Amino acid sequence: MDEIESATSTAVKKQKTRFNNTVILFIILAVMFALFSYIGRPFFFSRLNLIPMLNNLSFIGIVAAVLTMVMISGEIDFSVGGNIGLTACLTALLLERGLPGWLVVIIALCGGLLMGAFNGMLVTVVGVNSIMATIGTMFIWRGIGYTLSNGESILAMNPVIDFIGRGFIFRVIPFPIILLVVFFLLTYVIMNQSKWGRRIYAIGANPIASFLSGINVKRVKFINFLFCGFTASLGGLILTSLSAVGMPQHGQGLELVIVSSIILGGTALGGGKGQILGTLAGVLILSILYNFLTIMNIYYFYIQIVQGTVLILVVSTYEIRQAMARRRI
Amino acid sequence: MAAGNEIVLQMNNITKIFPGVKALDDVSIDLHKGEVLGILGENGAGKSTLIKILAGNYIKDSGEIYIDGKLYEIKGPAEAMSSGIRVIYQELNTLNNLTVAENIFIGEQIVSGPFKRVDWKAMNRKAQELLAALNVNLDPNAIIGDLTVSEKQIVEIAKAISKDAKILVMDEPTAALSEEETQSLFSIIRTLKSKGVSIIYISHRLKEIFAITDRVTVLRDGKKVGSLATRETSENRLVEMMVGRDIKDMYPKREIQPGDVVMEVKNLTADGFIDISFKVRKGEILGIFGLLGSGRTSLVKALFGANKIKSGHIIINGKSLNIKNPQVARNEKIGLVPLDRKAEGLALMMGVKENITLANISELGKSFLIAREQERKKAGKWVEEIGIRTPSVDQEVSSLSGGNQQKVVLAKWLESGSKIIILNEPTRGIDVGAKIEIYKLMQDLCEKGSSIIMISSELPEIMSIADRIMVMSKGRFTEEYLRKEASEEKLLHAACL
Amino acid sequence: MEKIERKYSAFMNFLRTPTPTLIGIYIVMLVLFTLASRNFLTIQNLKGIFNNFAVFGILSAGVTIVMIGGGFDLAIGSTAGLAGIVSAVLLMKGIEVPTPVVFLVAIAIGCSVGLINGLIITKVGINPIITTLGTLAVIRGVCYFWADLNPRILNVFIQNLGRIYVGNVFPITTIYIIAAFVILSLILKFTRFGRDLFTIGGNENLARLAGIHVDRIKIISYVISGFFCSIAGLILISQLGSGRPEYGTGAELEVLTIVVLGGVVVGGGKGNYLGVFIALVIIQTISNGMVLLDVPVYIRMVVKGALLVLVISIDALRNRKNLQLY
Repeated sequence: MDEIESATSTAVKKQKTRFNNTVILFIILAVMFALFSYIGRPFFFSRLNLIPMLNNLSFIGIVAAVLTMVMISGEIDFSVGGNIGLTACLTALLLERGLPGWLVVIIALCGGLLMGAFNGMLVTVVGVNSIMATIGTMFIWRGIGYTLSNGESILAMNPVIDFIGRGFIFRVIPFPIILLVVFFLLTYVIMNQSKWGRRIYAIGANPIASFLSGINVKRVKFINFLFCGFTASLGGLILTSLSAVGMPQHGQGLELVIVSSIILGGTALGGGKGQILGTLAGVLILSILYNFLTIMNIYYFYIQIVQGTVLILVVSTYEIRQAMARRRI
Repeated sequence: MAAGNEIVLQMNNITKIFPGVKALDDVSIDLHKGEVLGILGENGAGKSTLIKILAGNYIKDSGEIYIDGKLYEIKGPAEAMSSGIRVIYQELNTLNNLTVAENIFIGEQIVSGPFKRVDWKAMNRKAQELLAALNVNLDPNAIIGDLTVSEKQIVEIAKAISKDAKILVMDEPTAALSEEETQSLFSIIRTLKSKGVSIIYISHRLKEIFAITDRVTVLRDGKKVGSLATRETSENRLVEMMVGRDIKDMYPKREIQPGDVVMEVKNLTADGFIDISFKVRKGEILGIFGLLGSGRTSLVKALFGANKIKSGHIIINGKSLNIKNPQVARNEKIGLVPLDRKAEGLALMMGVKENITLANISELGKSFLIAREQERKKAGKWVEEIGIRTPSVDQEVSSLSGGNQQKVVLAKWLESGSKIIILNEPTRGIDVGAKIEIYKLMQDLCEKGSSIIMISSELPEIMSIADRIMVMSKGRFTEEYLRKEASEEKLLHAACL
Repeated sequence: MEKIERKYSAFMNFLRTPTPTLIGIYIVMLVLFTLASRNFLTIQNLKGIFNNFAVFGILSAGVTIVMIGGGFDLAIGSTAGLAGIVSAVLLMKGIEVPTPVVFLVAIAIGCSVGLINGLIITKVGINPIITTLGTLAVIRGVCYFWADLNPRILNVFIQNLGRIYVGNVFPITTIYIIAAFVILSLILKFTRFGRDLFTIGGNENLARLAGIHVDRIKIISYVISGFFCSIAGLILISQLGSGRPEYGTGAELEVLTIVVLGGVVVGGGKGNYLGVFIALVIIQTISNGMVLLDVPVYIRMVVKGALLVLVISIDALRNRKNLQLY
């Protein structure tokens, strides 16, 4: 008889607020961009800054897009950073051994699939909470990365690999940006228009009801983790290409930024709610913010302070808004 | 058994409105010291709402509450507790890792000495005293997780009286108890009475009302129908007051010609039940009756692939099947409307159309994309056919009333083409109007060739709707009756074997 | 007759905890390592094991309290690092703040961080893992304010804090840990605070209904965790001889492994210090064993991560009676 919940809101109103959210974020983005262009002139708004910033943002965005899918289904993957580090080292090592670029790419991506599969198994078969499981695997992947590279940075130069991060399509558009657009389009279509996306939203909204309606919850979650692992490796390849080295430190701390972007974009921690476009806005906002801070020569570890604060602020805003909605009853 | 004349509790003109439903309409009750007042009513009559208001979980929209003659504004559970009101709910709230004594003294552990250290010896002793006062023998050091439901309930009662409860409310306390345990409970209640505790006893079991209450108040559709001294009334009179109309009108009867056997269950055993066999025919409604813990929900979950089968067979339309998960069940055109529709049947934050298509997402268009127009059409069709009251198919399901939510769950299975639909307490928490609609729906479906398995603990309901009634007790099948052979006594008796 | 029965049931309750299994595991491990390396069972080596786990032991003391109440503290490494480096700076030549004051400052730092964590988690209502993930980053960043100072520990008292051996055999740090565990066990068993903590971890709603000040108790548990982070930070700078901003990084990993292995349930309501102590010894013995067996540094890192995953998998399997269907 908890009809108390019945009063909350109509679907139409909620859909409008969801859309409004993303619009607000893009407005904030535009304002920030203008502001930083002014304060950081002339360097901020120059090709020398914007291209690397966009490239950097691309690989973060790609991972964030797929991680959004995982989070909407009610899980999370903190191991993406470790995955990137491991992939970077693996790639560099294999190139050193003389393997052809295209083969290395395939192996790296398969590695990503394996990592995703391991995460997926831990969560769906063993039943470990995904937060704990992926924090654990984060350390394992990173550790393997360090082991493979012996803690050193290894040069990674190869025509195929170079293209991934530093190549251009039609002479002007950097390849990573293309990947970014492709991935966001792909995930947008999947989540908003496809049956798979509908299953993901349903599972996030109520996994028990989804299970009892014949949806194979475990399979959906497992495949999501596979996709996430694959994508993180792709991100690792991009980063390796951009920096031309494979370092075990690659991707360190990325979890913080990516998860913050996703939550900023409106995805709830519990699942069931969230928009891909929101994530895009979140990634853009935070990437531009951190790029700006880096240009202003702020010490990396101080930027980390900002990153941590942003996470807390972003989640706080979400919690406070939820509490206010509850109080309106 | 003589109750005092002073009035300890008076609830006057209580009204509580939820969107779409008036749960309580100007209800007044009074409770005398040392008496057991039964509150009787069907599901949806308002009993739970009344109690939740008393316990401080809901806020009344209007009316006054007087305790011992003084006006009380109960703003929350803490105030209710400090006013001497204790509620023992059906879903027991115990801490399974802690001991009996700790559960009794939650938050108020007995301390002694200059350092205020927790005095385990004293706590165990006091717990022992309390339990002895109830004439019960339990080891205060036992861990709650190991106890039976009946014992846990006793711990809750002990907890309630340890804090000097003046008014004890028991909500369907015997739902999970055996006959013996029920008698123990009654003797505890008598002991409490003799100590001056006033008790509100909520139930819809007439036998118990007559066994233990001094007076009984009947609620129906949120209104108080009347208050009578228990010994001055009869079962028929009470049923009449509860139901309000001739039973014949309430539950539309019809005769059916059952067709071939659509489902046969042979010697099925799983977690919660052993060696169950039965048949379901096309066009019939099979009712399953039993007390809490009899294994009914475990059984239907096994039929639906949500409870691992240890041995036995399920045969659908002649084929022996291994229903290992709900996907298979759904593909075999079996549907389950679960016990807790909000937690298990609906995605509350999604809309009506999404919920209706939830079990049939693959059919939403030929490609991997969702055919939106098709989805709206399908949803619209069911909304009309079943009579779901909603502003639009996009409406968030959380804002629908209980009855309409239940209809959405049913629509989900109709949309996925289920021919065998299992309903677990289908009319729980639904107002009477919607109940009748659901009964009618069930009948219509059967007339069109579907079969229904219905779990119900409401005797009038199951005796009128089901064509055959299967009774379960403690995980086993006990008896089966055709509708015309069944009676309340027979069913209850079989359920307690 | 009554007395004997009661003793029996307390012992039975003990047997059901994971502790006896842990003792078994440890004995098996001892045997294996002894067979694998002849340096293992030497006094020197054992002294080393017991001294090394100082920091992790102190940190687990605090974290266990938080976790029993249903919470989580991932910021322990950073907090210990902050307390450490600030103390080291204060003790530097040229500043030389008196030792007692340094102690107070360190403790103040740890407790303030705990207070902030507790407030955010209870008042704003953010998930503890996310919260402490955030504060972890923030505090680690703050540590770098003093990155270029590089203070060395010359203060004798502080030097001895983490390094002396009582009677030349027993590391004093182990005494700290045992003392902390004993005191905390007593608090858990014999104070209202402790019992309420178990109640909150078991069923928070019920605790609230029973009138327990849930928020207050949770905040106190985080402050306690912070306090132990301070102590750990002091021991860190003592053992390592200087103050660096990266000290304590990654401590969360091992502490989490230890605590979960020791029987503290993620989600709260269960846990005891005896189990944590044995788990501490087990994990440290493994670390030590790897060094003795000349396992390369980075592989040790992988093993530690794998241990965490293993331990939480066992915890998940153990605590799920019916394997989740979805």
